[in-house]
Amino acid sequence: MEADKTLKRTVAASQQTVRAHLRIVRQPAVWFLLPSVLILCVFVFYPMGKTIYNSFFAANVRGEAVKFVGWANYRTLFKDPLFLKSLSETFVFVLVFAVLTLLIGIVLARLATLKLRRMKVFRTAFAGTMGTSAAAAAILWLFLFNPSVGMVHLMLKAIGLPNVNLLVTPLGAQIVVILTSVWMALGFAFLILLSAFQNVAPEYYEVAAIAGWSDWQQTLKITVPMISPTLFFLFVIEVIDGFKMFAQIDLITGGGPDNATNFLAYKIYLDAFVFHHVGIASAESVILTVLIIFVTWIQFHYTERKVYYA
Amino acid sequence: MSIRLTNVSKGFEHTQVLSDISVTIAPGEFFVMVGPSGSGKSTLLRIIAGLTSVTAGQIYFDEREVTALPPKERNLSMVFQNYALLPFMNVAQNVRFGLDNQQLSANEKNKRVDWALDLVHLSGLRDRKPKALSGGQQQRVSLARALAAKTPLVLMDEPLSNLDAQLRAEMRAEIIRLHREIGMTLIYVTHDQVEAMTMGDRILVLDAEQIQQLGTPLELYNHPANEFVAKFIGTPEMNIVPITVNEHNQFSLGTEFAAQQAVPVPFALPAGHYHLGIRPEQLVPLAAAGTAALPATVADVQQLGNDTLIFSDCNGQQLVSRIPQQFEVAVGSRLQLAVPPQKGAWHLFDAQTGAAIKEGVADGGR
Repeated sequence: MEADKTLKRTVAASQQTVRAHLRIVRQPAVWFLLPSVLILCVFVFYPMGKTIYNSFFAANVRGEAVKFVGWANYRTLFKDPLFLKSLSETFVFVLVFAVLTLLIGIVLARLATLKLRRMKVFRTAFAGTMGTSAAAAAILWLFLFNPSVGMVHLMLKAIGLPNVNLLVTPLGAQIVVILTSVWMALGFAFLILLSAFQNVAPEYYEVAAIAGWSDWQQTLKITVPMISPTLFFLFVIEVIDGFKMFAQIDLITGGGPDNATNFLAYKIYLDAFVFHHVGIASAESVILTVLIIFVTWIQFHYTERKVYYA
Repeated sequence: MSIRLTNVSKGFEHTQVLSDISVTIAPGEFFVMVGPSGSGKSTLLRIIAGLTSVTAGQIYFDEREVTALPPKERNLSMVFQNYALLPFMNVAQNVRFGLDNQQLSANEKNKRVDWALDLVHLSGLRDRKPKALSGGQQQRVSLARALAAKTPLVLMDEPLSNLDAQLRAEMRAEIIRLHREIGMTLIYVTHDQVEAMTMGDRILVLDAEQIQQLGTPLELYNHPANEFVAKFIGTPEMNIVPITVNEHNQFSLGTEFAAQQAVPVPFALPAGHYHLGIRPEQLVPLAAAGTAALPATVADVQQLGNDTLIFSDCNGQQLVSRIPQQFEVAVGSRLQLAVPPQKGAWHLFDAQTGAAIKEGVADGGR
């Protein structure tokens, strides 16, 4: 009798478990979530895990992890002057890129809020790079800086300046990459900033104008604080974008000259797919990811306090 | 400070907003500009403020021409419908924002802020952010900001339109009190005729680019210059119906004389077509059928507690009566609406132009 009861209870319990599982499957939410969860797993979570795993292994030429080496890949990297150089150049690039994009974006957005005829044409032009592929833009800039037929050099020649080939000097190549990247990022930054500008009620400026505040004071005392959440958001986005910069470098400089534009994201590609150092490249990827997370955290921690949210 | 506008016109790219506006506002006056939306009243206020330029005409402040001067050189302050308080500044900072650019000592500025906050009874909330205030309190802050600058002219653009009815009544009294205490010239724009009637020393009624009438509240109510003003001032709006008067000084509703419905006119009126305006409170039901009454059918009754509104149909014309008491009447029942015997209750308008027909020049006869 006692055993019978236990059996019945066990059966009932297992039936309940089955029913619970069925309930989950019957939840419509599961089916709606499934496609994106699947895609995230295949293209994000699995590669992420695999990269972390690979970073602790030595890999063969086919990229297969063959020997556990612990922290050796990381130790190698932090002793490698090339990696350290790439790291510091990346920081400088990201900072200059993000600040320039934001500043020029603000100027363009301010211009686009002026009440002038045909402003729509300018707005479209300013936002235009949003619809441009990075590869096409890179090729375009490459043509512009071509030392014999490029527009930049023709212009230099026309005003009697010597023909300098920017792309063969380290600083020149960095300038070209920064210009290209800023130009590409401006469309998005402009659009976001323009909508932020337009969201500031005109009455604020009217109160200020009546009280005698100058245009400059109005921008500083009203516009900047009012759009500070947008500025913060954009800065975070541009910093992350800067760390991930790839297409322009690949097409314009290939990381050169003398590794001057071999920024971290590009170096990972070179190490993994050109030099076949998958273990090292994986370690670099992990470092880049941690770096981006850390920098973003710092921004949230220290900058967000100064941001006013409506 | 007195303000004088001469022949002010304003047109935007495709539309004319104001045509040939001339008006003089006396120092210390509470001057209300009222009109329906799109009547140009806010544009006129912004022109006085210097926020909008004029297409033609001049503006004088105390005989000094200011037409081309920017807002900051006009020595005025302004209150907006949406308060325009900077959300990242607290109450005191917002008030100070209005006078921070004036040549005043820090001590004087602080005194001004305290004084203004005290005036609007917000001294206790000086460290609050606008978000932590009610709509009424926010508008008080914006009033304080305008007052702290101590300008001789204060402009208000629909300052109470974002508030609920109860707060609006409270703030109305508040603004009247502030004006009385400080004595500045106050130009106040509203679309609400009740605000205009209760607040203004004088009211300017604007519509269709032009001044429809300028006068004290009672002048506008008792002697509207045209049908627009007659309908715009007063709730419910004035009944205006076409009437036809015959040679025997009788009239009937409608554009054709109908002998079987003829009612005598209580004073001499030349024969012809008119528009007759009667205020709802002057059109009350007669207890028993009389000669000077219009037969009507009750279409709707609204009980307001203190008043009763009766909407009735008389010969196809919609009429409304306001009875200053509770009044029981069934929808569909027949009523006799007494024709007011006193001449003052009759507002006659030209059937073509809608302009009021003044006493002695009643030339509507044809």
